[in-house]
Amino acid sequence: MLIKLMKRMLLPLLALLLILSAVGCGPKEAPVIETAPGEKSGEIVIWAWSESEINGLAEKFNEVYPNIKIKFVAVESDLYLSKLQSALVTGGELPDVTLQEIGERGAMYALDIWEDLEAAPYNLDRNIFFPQILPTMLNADGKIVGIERELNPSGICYKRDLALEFFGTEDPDELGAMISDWDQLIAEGKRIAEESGGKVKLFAGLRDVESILYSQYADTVFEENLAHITEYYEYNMDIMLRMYEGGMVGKLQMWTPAWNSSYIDPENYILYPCAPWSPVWVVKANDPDGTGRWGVTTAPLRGYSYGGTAYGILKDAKNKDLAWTFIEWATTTDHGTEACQEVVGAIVSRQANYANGYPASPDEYFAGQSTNQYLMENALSGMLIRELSQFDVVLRDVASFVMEDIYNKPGITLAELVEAARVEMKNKLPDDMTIE
Amino acid sequence: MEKPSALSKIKKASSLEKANRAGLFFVLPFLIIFAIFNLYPVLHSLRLSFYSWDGISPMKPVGFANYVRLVTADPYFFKSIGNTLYLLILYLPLTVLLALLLASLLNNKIVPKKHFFQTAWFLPYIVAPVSIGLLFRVLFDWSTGAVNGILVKIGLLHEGLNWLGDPKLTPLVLAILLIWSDLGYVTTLFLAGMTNISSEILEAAEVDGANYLQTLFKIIVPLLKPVIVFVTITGTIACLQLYDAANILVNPGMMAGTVGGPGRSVLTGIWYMVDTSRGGSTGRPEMGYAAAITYGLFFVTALFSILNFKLISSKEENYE
Repeated sequence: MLIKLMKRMLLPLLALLLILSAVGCGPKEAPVIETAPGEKSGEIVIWAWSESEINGLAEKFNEVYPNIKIKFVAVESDLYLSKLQSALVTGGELPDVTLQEIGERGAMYALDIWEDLEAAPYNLDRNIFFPQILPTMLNADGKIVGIERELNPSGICYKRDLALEFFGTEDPDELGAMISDWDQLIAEGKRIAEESGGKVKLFAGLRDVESILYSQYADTVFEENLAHITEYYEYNMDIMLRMYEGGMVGKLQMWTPAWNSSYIDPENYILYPCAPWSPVWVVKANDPDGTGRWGVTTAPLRGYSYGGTAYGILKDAKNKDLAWTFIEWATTTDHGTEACQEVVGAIVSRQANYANGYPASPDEYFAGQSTNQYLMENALSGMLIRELSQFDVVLRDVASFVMEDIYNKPGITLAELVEAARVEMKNKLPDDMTIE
Repeated sequence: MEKPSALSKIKKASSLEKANRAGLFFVLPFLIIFAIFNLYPVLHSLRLSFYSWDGISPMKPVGFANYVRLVTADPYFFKSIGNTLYLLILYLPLTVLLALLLASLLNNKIVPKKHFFQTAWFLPYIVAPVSIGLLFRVLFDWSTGAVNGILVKIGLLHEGLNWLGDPKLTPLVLAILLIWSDLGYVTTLFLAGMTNISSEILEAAEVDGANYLQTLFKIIVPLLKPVIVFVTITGTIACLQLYDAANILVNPGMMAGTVGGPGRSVLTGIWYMVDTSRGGSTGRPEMGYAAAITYGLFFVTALFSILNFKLISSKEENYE
């Protein structure tokens, strides 16, 4: 009888075992252990795209908080928001500290998933940061939901030998004066194109120019149900069309291997958009043997903010207290902000760090120029940043779409470009938005 | 022969029932996993298509509004279908023809080292689509790509073509990518079909004076109809599901490209669905609408598959 019962149970048990073996273990909760009164310990999860950066910061962080372990999870910046959404929807492991890259930040902030960092228990004081950077930290309700880690007053990187040959100078101030506005830049570009027989161009591709124009544009584009895109595209497309028709822009697509290789090309392209992070992460990375070949000057019209990474805390994060410990350390303390400067190569957004001006740090690679000091002193004061919008990604996508017409349809007019942009914007934006 | 008694019938039925129960317990794990990881997501996404949802906020029921929008007010959905049709026309007939020719060559006794060539032709099929997309992006780059370099050098072009930036050319590049990637696999299928053809038929054709091409197109191809049907239907489905290779081909990342490539000429249905669900180029994730796009694609795929099947089968019936 017992044997029969066991036989009857055997098959269902086997089936159950097979199912259970296919089910993985659930995520472990990170323990928060108080080892001593007031001493914080535990583990925080940071999703980021640069392991070396997080490891470098973790090492510095652990000098102050030795018992808080940082767990790095690699997530590409392009896929960051979609991976966050997937984790939120499926209940997967969420980061405690979230990185908010400027490209998707508007869309990120439109989601009501962030902690208000000025509210308790964080009580952040926004006045400690440079006022120029505040628009990149605010959501549509004016709440700070991310702290911009770095200030990015940006300008132009240039190849010194080509600048000397075609502009007659490699001095940053003199060069900046020659291209102080877009009309001047275009006039110089035309001259250079003619002199070189079309071989030497100012920029490698239209996207380089668009990146500067997009970041420089200070007027509000999106408000409530209005999209002021006609003026935006008229301004930007006019400059790009004139530049391309003047033969001063190449055909390389930004961030492709061909574009990266153009940095070591000694003959063809002179200027590139340049943020404080560009010398380390772009110029030196693409031209490792280029010592002495490069300089940094100001952009036409004014400085602009190019790129940026902020730290935020999700409402559903497990270890908000420890996450805030890290963020507060990294963005508001002497030790943390100096670590960011050293590890990331960033100009930090905390004003107190530069109360006595930006320290000089001559870089042999840039022929002795102190690039960050130069950008702080020459690009910051004029820098204007418009407020973030979830539709900023649409602006960029439609700009890419329309730029292709500049390449492929010789003789296209500005009116046709703007109309194409309006049609695409109408297709992409919500139906209840009015396009002006 | 003695008729089975009632008792033996009952015993037989009982042992069958036991055997059935035993079989059921063994397929139960698969059924449960299938129900959880396949059936439930399908039904959930169908339900989701009747809601408006950004993935975070509460779901809002909208009835058939998503489907109405899909059919009446969405230019990109039909653009993606049109792009796929165009891609199919470029990719499928050429792939089938080249694969047939290759398979017949590999099936020929005079070709030496057949296995080496068969393996070599098959290798691109096992390369990840992302890698292939990256490779083709480098090869077809406007300024520095090898393709333009070679064509200019041999005098076929005066200056390089904007392969990946011209809406007329980018679909061609994508079609070439797909042909290069799938040719080996389709050749293998045809080769398998050819080896099953009786040699007597081929010998009879030879005796009757048929040449190589006549044998290929009038005897071998009709006998390979089931394989052609399979290749056509799966090729159509693959085109409708295309995403990775197309995305990598035209988008270098860092938000530097256009969703769907130049003029959205290589925007596929799946790419459009992914972009809509994430809000990558719209700034607002729309998971409910993305689910509706998925079902729209499902109906289109089913329609294409049925049409393909009926078209080729009716030709088969006429032939018979």
